[in-house]
Amino acid sequence: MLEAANGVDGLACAGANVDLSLILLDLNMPLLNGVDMLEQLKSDLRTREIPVLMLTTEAEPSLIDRAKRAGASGWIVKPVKPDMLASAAVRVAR
Amino acid sequence: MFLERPEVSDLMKRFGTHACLELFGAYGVKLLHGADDRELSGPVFSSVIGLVGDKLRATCLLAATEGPLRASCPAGEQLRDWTGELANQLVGRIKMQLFARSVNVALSTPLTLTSVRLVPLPRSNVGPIQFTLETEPVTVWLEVQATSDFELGPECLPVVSIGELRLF
Repeated sequence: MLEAANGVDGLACAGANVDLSLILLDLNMPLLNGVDMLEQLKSDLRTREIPVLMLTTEAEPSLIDRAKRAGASGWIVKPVKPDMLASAAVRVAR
Repeated sequence: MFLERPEVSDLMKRFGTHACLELFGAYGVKLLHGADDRELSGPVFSSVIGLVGDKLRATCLLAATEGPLRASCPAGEQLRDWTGELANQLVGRIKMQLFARSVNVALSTPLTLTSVRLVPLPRSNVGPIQFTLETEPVTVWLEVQATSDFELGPECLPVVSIGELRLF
C-alpha cells in the first residue's frame, strides 16, 4: 500500500505505479483537490484504468456528479466501516 | 458585507455541537457536552479549517488533549495527523448540515498545531463549545460571519449520507 500526503504527490505516485489495483482518494487535500486529481488521472493514458473510490467528508451533489463523469468508481462519505470499505474495494479493484 | 450575527453564530454552534458528538460517537467515544471553561493545557493538539461561501464565512478550530484523541484514533495513526482528519470530518459534517439547507461553502485544508496551552478568546459573546471525555477537554471553536441577508432554506435529505457508499 502506498500513501501520498497531497494531490500532487498522489498524481506522481500513481504515474510511477500504474499497476495499482485501486486508489482511495480524499477530496480535501493540499495542493490539488481530489476531484481535480481524479480528472488528471483519468485523462492520462497511463493511469486512466486504475479504479478510483472517492473517500471524503463531503456529499455535495455537483462534486459527486463531477467525480462520476470523470470516471470514479464510487463515492464514500467518511467515516466508513472497515467491512464496507473492504467490500467496496473487492468490487471495484482490478 | 460580512457581519457578526449572534443568531447565525448560535445556529452554527448547534450544528457544531451535533457534529462533534456524532463524530466522536462514530469512533466509539461518548463525549459529554458541558460548560467546562478550563483552559486546555498540554500537550494540546488543534486543527483549524476555514469555511467560505457567498453569504457565510467561518473559522473552525478543533482542539483536544491526548485522551479523547487517542480514544478515537485508529491504530497506527499519528495523533497530530488524526487531529487534522477529525477537524476535516467535523467541518464536513457542518458543511453537510448547511448544504441540506441550501447553503454551500468551500472548505480549506486543515492546519494542525501542537501547543502547551490554548485559551480561546471569542470576538463575540458566542463562546467555544466545550466537551469532556472523563476529565479531558475537547473544544470546538467556531467564529462566524454572515451577510445581512443570509438565511437557511428548508431542510432537504442529502444525496449521500454519512457512512454511505455510492457505487457508480
